[in-house]
Amino acid sequence: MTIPLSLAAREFGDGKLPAFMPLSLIGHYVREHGLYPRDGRMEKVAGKEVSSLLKLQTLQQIEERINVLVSDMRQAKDLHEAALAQAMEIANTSTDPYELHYMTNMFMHQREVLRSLVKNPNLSEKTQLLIVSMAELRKDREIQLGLAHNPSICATVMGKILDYTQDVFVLQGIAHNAARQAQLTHDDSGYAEICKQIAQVHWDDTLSKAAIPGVKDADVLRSLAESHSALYAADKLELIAQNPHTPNEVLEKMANTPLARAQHVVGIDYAIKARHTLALKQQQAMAPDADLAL
Amino acid sequence: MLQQEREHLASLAVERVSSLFNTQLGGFYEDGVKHKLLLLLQAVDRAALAANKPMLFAEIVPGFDLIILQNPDAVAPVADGEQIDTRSLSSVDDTCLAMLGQAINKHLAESRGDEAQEGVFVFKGGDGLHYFGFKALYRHSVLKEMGVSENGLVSYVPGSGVMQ
Repeated sequence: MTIPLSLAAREFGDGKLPAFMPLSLIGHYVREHGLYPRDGRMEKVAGKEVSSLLKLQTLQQIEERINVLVSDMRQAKDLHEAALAQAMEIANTSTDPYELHYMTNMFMHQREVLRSLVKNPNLSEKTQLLIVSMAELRKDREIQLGLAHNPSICATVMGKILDYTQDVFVLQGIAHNAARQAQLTHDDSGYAEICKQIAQVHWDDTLSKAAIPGVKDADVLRSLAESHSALYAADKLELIAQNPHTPNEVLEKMANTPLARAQHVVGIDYAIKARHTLALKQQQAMAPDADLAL
Repeated sequence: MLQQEREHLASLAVERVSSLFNTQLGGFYEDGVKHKLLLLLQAVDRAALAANKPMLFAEIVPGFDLIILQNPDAVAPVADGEQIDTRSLSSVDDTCLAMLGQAINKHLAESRGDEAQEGVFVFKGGDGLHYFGFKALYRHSVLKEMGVSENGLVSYVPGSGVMQ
């Protein structure tokens, strides 16, 4: 094997293109440039793994960031404040569900951080389910409220909360949230089911009223309309009259009630609202592509 | 390597692909392939910089290996890896890579035919990373030349913290 006089002279190529070097000279090149592995090792990555490898890079970076935070908190008491503030910052502003899930696990015992976490709309269903499964967190009203009002909360999680909570404020939050989500989504997401459950609650009017706008089940709406008196439950009837899923014959009955004028005088207006809803439904039937502004 | 170097190499590679298939590939398609190549080059750079170890990308395109080396004692700091879109990267699919593999292998076969020896493409990036591209069958010889010991080739295990 001939030893070249100077590898510099052999560095042919104008630097803009890869130069073609015979195999026998590679050894010289790497030694000359100090590129050889100092421990004789090289990391092998299958080409196909490159894209998945980079995803892992990000995940590891996230974990590292949080581990540093946690070890800071464990080590120095005076660093505690700063580390906590940083954790809160992540809890409030992070948009990565994985990061939030990791944070939830690491800061399970830090109530302040959790209270911020539950309000983050980027929380994944997995994290939500984790939080509702923790018995000691069920008693923390701020956490439960934070979840109940979270716009990204899943219907399954709502169902779980309904099962265990006895807090009327949490229920109210869920009813309100579920009604809004049900109105926003067209498909059979679980929110309409949740609303159905809550609307049929008989011991709390405020609660059932909050859920009625989200009910999509015609039978439930009919039974609600029939079981409530025009005098004592007028505001509930009003909500039923505004719901486009209420069956037409119920709406017509409301619209044609003989007491409509007298009711209007005392401020009970479900007849008018029922008529309005009927008109809008007719409009939609004629032009199904038009946007229904209900 | 620097972004302008990547652009240059990617353009060359795309030209090569077009002539290999003897078709006038529409500009749109060529841009697509070029973009994927750029992503791939960025991705290997990022991986190599993060690992800070000698890296072998086995069969980065079918039949072709890539080694990236850095000088750990180099005075000039190596450029910080830029952010890349990992989701677009996953669009660098098998057909694209297979085509590139064919083109590269053909180019290797044709280039410097008079030397008729096994060879390696060497490229020195402006940021201090050195690239070595060669046919996968020469892997063992190349590694020997570089001083990698018999058991020195360590397969990257995800999650083992090796890439820190």
